[in-house]
Amino acid sequence: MKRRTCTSLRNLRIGLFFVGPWLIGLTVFNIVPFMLSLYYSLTNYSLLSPPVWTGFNNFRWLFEDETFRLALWNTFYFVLIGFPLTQLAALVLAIMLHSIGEKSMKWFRAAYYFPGLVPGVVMALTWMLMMNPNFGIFNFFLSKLGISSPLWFDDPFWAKPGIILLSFWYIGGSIIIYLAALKDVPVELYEAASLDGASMWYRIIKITIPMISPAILFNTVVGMIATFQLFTEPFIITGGGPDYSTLTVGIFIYNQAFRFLHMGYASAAAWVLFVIIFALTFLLLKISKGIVYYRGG
Amino acid sequence: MRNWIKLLIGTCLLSMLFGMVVAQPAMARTEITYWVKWSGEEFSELKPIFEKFNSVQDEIYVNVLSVSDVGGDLEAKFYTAVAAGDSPDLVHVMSHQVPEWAGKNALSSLDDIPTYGVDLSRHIERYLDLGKYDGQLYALPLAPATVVLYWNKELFREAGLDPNKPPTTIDELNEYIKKLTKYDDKGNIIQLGFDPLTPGWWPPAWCYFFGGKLYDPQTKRITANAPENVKAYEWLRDFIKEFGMEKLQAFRAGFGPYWSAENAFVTGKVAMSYDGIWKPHLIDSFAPEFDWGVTAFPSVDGKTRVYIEGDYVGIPVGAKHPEAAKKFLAYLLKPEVLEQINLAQWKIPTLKEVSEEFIANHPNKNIGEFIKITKMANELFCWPRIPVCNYYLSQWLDVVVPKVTLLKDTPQNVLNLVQKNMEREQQRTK
Repeated sequence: MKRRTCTSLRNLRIGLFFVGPWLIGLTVFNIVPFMLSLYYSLTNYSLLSPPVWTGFNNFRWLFEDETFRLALWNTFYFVLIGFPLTQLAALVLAIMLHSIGEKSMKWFRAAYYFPGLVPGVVMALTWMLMMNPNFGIFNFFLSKLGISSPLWFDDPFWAKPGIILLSFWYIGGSIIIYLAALKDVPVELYEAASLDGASMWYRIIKITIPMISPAILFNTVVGMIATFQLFTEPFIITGGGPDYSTLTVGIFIYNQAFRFLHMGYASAAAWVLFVIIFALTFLLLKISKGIVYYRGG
Repeated sequence: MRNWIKLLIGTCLLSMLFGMVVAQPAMARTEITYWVKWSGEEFSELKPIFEKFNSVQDEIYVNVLSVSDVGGDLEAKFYTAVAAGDSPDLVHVMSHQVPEWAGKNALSSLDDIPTYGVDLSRHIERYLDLGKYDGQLYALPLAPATVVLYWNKELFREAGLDPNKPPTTIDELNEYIKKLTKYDDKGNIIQLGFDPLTPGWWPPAWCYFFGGKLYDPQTKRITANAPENVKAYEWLRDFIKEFGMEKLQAFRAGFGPYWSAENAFVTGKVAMSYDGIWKPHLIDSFAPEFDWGVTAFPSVDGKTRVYIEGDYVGIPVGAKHPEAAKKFLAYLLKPEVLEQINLAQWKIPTLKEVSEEFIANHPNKNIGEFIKITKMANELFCWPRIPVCNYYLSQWLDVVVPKVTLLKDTPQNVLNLVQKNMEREQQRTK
């Protein structure tokens, strides 16, 4: 017994030794700033002078701030319209890839994942050129089809759809996860359904979707959180404009913190975003309990 | 084998020792760091001028660093460096940023700079004011800039206008714009007389040309929605309505990058341009034969009002070697050094008198015109000297210009909104 305790202690020490650097990093770079931001959100803090306690003033100002409301609205637009569209595209493509031969599938899987390796800033700059109203490739093809070319990022109406369009660039990651889940769906289920005369559509709805529902939930939660934090693409391409049409909460926080040095105000906005993400993730997980099917558990 | 290792270690140690001995003279000097926002060709031209200081004395060694300012992020890097206690010894500051940086306690006072041999009386007072906040001097001018109207003489001739007679009033400007604008068979714009949004970097300037102002220093009140400012933006809205928002957007989309042979003014797509003193450098780089003229921007009453700004230098709070930094500043402020900096920048130093060689060697052969414009101006205006300057600027760039030019709201409503936002901001940051 004593020997076992000694071994356990030794294992704990070794475990802590290996996990130590990560624990230190997590504390210094995540937990401490996280807690400090909560304190700063209740202060007026310009980074260069000591914070002054203001209570909940920052939150009161935030809800009266028309720009913040606009940033929230834009962010929800990307989450509720842009994100489902990209997920749907990823799912459809994954199902299509799954149905073709293994050899071709491997090639296409790499091809779809490949764009995701391009850094966000490079991708944003490339898309700026591709969507240039005058010499961009998008409008070249649209004009060939006889469609009048939108001004994309120069037009507040088209700027948001433009950003959504370029977010399709990164669907490769979701496709890989869906493909892995699709591979796990037992073939017998499809065979049985075929024998019963089920159509392809019916098989997808009744077999594929429920069987890969854990993957759908995972992609939804991770993707939704990432979309709420959308920053790089609109920041590089439009800086939040024109007329604040692509201003996300992420850009709002950056502007307040680093352009205007309102660290307290930016922290308050970050906490509002955190609460929204936390609440929606919690809600999503709660709702999913009755819907998502976990095989073997 | 072991001997080899000993030999290797021995060689390394000897090399380190040798390196230390060779580097000894530099180590004895006080090393200071100077952050500048210039990069690329500009930086290559200016760096030798700054670093010449290292060879004219052996007490201080200056290290000039080009800090990227893409999207204006030198400011963000500077703030975080000051907050982290890792300030550079000197920093590049734009004149409009001085009140904000000084007000936020990021810059040190330079009121004692005359004791280091800087003769401030040699400089034009108005430019020294741009380095002040609340009566104290925080930054010194290196390369100031004026923003003026350039016109394409060839296009004036083609339109039947006198190529030596630019517009002097807003009414004349409107008339010239019409005469200089051309359309194709489908009604698309192929040449525009003037475009307020190209490059469009000084949106509040229109207010001054209509007799308005952004801030009243007497009452210390923001005056964003002053009647003159509303008139200025009504003029901008009428311009958009006259030429058509979509047609203008489509026309602008064909412009190349600013610093390129595809610049809208250089290619003759836009006949008149409101731009900085550096524009002749751009013209000379891409179209040396271009026939252009320069004058103050027209105003509603014909009075000349010229916007001034500039590249300044300050000493951050927390700088490790403020004494050495001030000695370097004194070197930079020597008239001959200022002239070298401004020759490289195609600008004019803030000195009351410049040397004859400076004029003779200036790459801009029209530089005399620029000196005249500034000297003869009825008013030299600049950004309000308030510490919420960045926010105010963002209100013009992100709210006023898009809302008015996209015809989202009336200029009166938009400027009322900015007035409200600014009052709220002032109250919030008290």
